[in-house]
Amino acid sequence: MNDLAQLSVTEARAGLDRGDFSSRELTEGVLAQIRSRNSELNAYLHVSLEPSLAAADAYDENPKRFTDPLAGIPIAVKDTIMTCGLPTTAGSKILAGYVPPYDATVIERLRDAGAVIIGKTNCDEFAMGASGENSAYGPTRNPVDPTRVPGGSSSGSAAAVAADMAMAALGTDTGGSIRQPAGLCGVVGMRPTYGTVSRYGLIAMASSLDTIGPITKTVADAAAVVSTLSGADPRDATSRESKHWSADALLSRDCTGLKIGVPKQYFPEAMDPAVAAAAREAIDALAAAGATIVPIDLPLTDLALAVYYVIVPAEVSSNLARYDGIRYGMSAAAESLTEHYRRTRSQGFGDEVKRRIMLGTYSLSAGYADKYYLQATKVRRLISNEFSKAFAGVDVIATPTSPHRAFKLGEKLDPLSLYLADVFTTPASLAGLPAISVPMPITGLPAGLQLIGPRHSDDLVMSLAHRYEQSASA
Amino acid sequence: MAISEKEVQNLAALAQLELSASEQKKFTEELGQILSFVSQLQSVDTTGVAPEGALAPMTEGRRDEAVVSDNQAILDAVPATEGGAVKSPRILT
Repeated sequence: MNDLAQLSVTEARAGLDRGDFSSRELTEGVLAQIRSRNSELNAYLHVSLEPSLAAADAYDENPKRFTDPLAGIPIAVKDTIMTCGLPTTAGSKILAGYVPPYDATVIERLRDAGAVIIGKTNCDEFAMGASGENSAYGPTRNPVDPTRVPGGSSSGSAAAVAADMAMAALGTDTGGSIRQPAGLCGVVGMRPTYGTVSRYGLIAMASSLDTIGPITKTVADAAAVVSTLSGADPRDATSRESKHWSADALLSRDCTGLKIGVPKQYFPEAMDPAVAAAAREAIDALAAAGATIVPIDLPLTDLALAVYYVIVPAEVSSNLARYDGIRYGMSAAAESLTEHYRRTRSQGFGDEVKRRIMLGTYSLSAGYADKYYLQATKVRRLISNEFSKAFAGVDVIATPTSPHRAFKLGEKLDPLSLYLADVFTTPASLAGLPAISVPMPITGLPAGLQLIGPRHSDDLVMSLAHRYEQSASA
Repeated sequence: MAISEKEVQNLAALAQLELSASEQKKFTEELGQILSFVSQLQSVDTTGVAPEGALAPMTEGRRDEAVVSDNQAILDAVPATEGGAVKSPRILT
């Protein structure tokens, strides 16, 4: 363990600005931590040794050139995000050895900010999974207890931040893939409002849900990352110009007298009782700080997973049609074109990917599209409307992030039981809402408190999480 | 809500996947379980409800067409090329 790797982004920023250390020293500290822990945890698929030191040196040459809070800070990137010149596999064999010819918009923004991209993190294949075990390059392990999973799909990003192998990381959240692993690893994970951060250059899983966001050690660090990444991008038609939030603005909304809704559906009997108790204590702490707690009813919550597992596979089946073994990635040569496609895709994709592609093919096929896909999109609207109605009466909704804590590797093998790990995170995803997971005080393995706000209230959600974090650590 | 092995075989063909006999059996069972799980949606009354697709209003602005990457960088990622073109197995036989 070295002292520099343990710093938060905010602490490292202050140290760089004071001249206590250089970006190179900071980067070398993080690289040393990766050398010491990655062989056990498998959080990184690729460590960008020389380019990261070159970026650190570029910062050190003229620090005053940069004004962004992330300048000179080592940041890890989930391997579903395109990085020009750095291998990008999305955790899949079908993209083994693929090196993108361009950067995702979020990577351009990090590079322009002067951030140091330190490497690419492991993930469930094409972001499909909730345990981090579903990568073609081996499972990631939880730094808190390496016999357990870190959660997923942003498994490597959460593990890297929790083990001080990155000061911050980018993850992606389709149904909970930032919040759930952040909760299970004891770090902060923020899913911004859908459309706040450009998806250009994100390897698509389910385009109507995929969202890029930060996994960090503190809420203030998450605010710094969201501030740098957000803003409209002409290359993503679903991105939109939200008012530009500075990191400070994201943390400084007035939180006095807020009404916080607590839905009973997020405290089922079958959940880990210690997690339920910790969440209730966290909500009591918010009340003690002046919030009014309002019990609310979100009866459609129980349907969210079913909606999710129709809509996501449908989008997956069309988004992953592009992997044909002709244009990029793995190629299993065959005489005929059809054989070429089939051989490449059968050898290149893992089981969960094949399952979702076939499910989506089924639910979009003639005779079933109305019954499954169309019906799911209608129930999705009902879920969205249910949240809108709730937000007429409350400012923020507070829930546990996950019903359980990190489980043992290999414990949940059947697909359906793994799907249930996302039961508390998929509803907000379907409605496109901003949601954050922040660690709660709890004995033993970590667990997160989830705060959900109305669309475009990212600043309110983060400000409240920031205050909660300060009270919880006091 | 079960699905037959024959249907799974057909889905695999539509999705350009080939499955071994044991995979076919396994996927038939798993897809059947997932379809049973999602069939709870059938009981929801959605009369008069408009479907929700993309959540953000699409921007209506258009951008100019522009070459954003050079051909060589793209060709470098192509598994098989010939004379600066992407090579594929014969399409017409």
